[in-house]
Amino acid sequence: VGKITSDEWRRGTDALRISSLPILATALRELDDLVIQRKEPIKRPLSPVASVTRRTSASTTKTHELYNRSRYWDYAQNVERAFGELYQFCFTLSKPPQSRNMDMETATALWSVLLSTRYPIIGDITTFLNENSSYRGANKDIWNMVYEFCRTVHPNLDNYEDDAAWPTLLDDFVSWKRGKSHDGAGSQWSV
Amino acid sequence: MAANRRPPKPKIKPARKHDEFLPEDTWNRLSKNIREIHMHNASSLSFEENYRYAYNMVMYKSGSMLYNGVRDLVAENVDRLAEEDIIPSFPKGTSNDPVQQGQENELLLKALRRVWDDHTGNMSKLRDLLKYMDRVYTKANNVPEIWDAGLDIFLKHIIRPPIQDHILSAIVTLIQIERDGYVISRSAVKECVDVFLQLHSGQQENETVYKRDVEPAVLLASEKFYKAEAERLLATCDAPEFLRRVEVRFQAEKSRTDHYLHSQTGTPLRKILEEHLLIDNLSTVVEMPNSGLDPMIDLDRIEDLNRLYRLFDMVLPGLPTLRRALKASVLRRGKEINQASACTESGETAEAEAEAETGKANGKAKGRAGGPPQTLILALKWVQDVLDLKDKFDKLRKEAFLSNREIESALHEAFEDFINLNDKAPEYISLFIDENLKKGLKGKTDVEVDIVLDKTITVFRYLIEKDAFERYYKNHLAKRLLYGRSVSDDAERGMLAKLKIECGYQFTQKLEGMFQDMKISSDTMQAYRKHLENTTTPAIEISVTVMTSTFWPMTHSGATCVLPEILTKACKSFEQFYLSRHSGRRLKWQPSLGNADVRVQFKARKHDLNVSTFGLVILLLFENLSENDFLTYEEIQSATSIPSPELKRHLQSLACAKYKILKKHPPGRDVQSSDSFSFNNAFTCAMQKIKVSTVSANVETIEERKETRERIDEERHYQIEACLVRVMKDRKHMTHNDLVFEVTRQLASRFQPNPQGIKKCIENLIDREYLERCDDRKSYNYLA
Repeated sequence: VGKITSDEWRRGTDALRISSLPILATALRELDDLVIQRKEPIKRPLSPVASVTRRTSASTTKTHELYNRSRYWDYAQNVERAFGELYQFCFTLSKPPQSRNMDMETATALWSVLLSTRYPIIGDITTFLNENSSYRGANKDIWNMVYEFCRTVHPNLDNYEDDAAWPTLLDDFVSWKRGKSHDGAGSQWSV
Repeated sequence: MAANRRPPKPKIKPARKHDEFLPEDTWNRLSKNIREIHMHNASSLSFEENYRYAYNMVMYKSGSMLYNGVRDLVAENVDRLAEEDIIPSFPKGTSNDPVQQGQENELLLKALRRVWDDHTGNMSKLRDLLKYMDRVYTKANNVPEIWDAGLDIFLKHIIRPPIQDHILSAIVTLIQIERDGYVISRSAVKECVDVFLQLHSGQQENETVYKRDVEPAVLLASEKFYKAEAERLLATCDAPEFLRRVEVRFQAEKSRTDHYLHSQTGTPLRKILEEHLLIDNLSTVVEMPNSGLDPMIDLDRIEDLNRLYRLFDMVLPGLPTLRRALKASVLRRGKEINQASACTESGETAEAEAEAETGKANGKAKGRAGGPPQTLILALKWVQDVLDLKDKFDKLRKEAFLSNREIESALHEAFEDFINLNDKAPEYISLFIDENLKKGLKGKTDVEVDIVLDKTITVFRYLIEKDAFERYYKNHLAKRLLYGRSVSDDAERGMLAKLKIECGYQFTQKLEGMFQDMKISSDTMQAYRKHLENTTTPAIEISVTVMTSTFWPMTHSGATCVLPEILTKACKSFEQFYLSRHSGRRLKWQPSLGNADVRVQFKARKHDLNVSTFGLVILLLFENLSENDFLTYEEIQSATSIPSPELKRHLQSLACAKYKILKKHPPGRDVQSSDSFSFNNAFTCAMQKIKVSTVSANVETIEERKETRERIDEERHYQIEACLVRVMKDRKHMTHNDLVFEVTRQLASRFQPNPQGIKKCIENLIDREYLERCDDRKSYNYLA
């Protein structure tokens, strides 16, 4: 993880038209805001409709773009899809190249970066996984399903279907969490 | 039609001549005659005359006088009859003697009947007389015909308090007297009831007085009586007696209804009985201590149970109660049987744990004199007890419960439940069959053999974990075949055929393979011996069984040892021969499974010993030693390379068991690595041929059981995966629930898979990219 070849670097910065580190930082921050924090996308400056005067390349002259935001706008069109792509990419990125799973630590770390802002239930899942060291790795299926889980199941787990095809890890998590919340409620009453 | 016809009058004008019609006069004459009729003097009268009177009266518009007048006369008469006959017959109610009471009430009822007969007789005559009136007058004036009017009068004048009350109470009292066991005049009651059946009360057309008055009174009294009766019976009788009496009551009431109550009363009456005698008391009867269902079963009271069944069958909650009770009974007995086999298991556990604590490494049974044979006995006892229990309940079911389907299914469930509660059931059943095929069936005829095997199959059917059974059966069968302990080949094959019918080909495939191997081996041996005639025979005579490794359970694999040269030469000779016949095969010798006959010279005499191959190897080490030489455990071990647990076991069987071929120093039951051994030249025994059997357990120890269970679980894992792939390959796409259902169904004949386990296997397969999840998260696709 975290290795980029110089070739990739060059190609990437070229396409994005990024020429300095601060701009790179801005680009990353904007992307983070958009896809992960789900803030409003930056207002796209109106295309130079009234650029009657200039007849030279209309693309870049009027707009003082910091960098090439075309990918950004692309993502902004369908943020959910963009996030999905990012999420999938992270799996392939972080797992050891030969194996089919990544270890749970890496997985939980990634989840906290990618998902926890929008889905606080990740916190519970992380606690659960830390308590039960029997789950050593996360394979692609688990990776995808965790995201699905966050997306579709309510935080109070009331619409979780026990007999649907969730992975057993999530089944166990749900019963653990339900057990805990019962205990919590119970202890409240035992005054 | 009038009997006498008057010449028809000219229609034009009414008759003025002839006798003037005087209504009063006519009426007086008629009424006098009617009175005569009432006095039973009808024969002295002229029918024609009276008819004419009546006719005239109607003609001359005096119909109403006639009608009302007749009515009054009838009423008067009825009252008179009541006065004279019925009222004096009221029972005094002073005596307590039921017989006397009965008689008094009877008289009353008879009186009523008499009056009725009288009255109806009169009415019938009057009806004939007043036919014209009926035809013409009543219709025109919307009054009931004279017959009906008569009934009405009877109703009003007789069936009213106090007469009515007395009559009703008479009926009820008589019924009560009969219920108390005395004889009454049923005909008297019947005739009275008939009267009531013919009277219709004013309000509703179809309701007879019987239904309105008599029936409710009877039912009320019955209800009271039977409520009390139920309590009485419960307090005084035990269960069989209770049932007997109840049955008697049912029969009595039926007879009563048939004989003198109306059939429509039969149903509500029966309902009262059912409710008070049966429904309220179902559980009480069944659970009665010392005489309820269980004791009846214990004592095989077929007749009582049959009665119970028949009675319970009559009411709706009856059979379910019976089923529940039977199920509970079977479960209880079954659990007792399980308990009996379990408690010594805990003894064994304690022993095993104690051993572990003192650091003894050998987990296998080490000739604890009581140990394995005792658990074997328990196993056999368990199976035998279960079979006996099944027999008992089968008999009950057929004879007492008339093979009722629901009872049958309840018993099945109960058996299934308790048999599967015992997790050693597969092992025990296999041991039972093992024991029977080894010695138990000797001397039995084919038919008897078949019966025993059939019975065992019925118990087998209840097992859920059939794959565990298969594993045990394989092991036991292997031992039987290899050591030649089967009593009858036919019986073995018979058993196998039955298992095939029960579980299908897949189950018995490998077992049949084992049989095949044995046969082929004996053929091979024949050929080998022939071959030896043509070449040099090795010094040792060898007999080989070739086992196809996939068929045979490989629990004994691996334990090898260093064989002395003469033995290896013999082995090689055979190997050469075999490989020349079959190319492309590899033979791996299993000395741990073999045995040998060896002639040993002791000081006293020579003995022929049959020992295991390992035992032989050990003994051969002593061949050239002198009497006082000894070998230490370590020396033996390094010379033979027999693994430690095996070595200890075999040394034990040679030095510490019944026949001490070797002497152990220090002597004792258990073998330690610090021991040393010498040849026991002084050994004596009465028999010349001795079999030195190796100490081995037939029933598994705890560790073995754990191991077996792990293997079974592993095997199941593979089975589930294979099944999943098979199903998905076929269907390509399935929902999760359907998939789980289908897999469970397909594997049901072997074991019951756990849904969680199936899920894990599914995930495994997803990981290995055999399946993929669908977007709806509920179903899967097959990935080719």
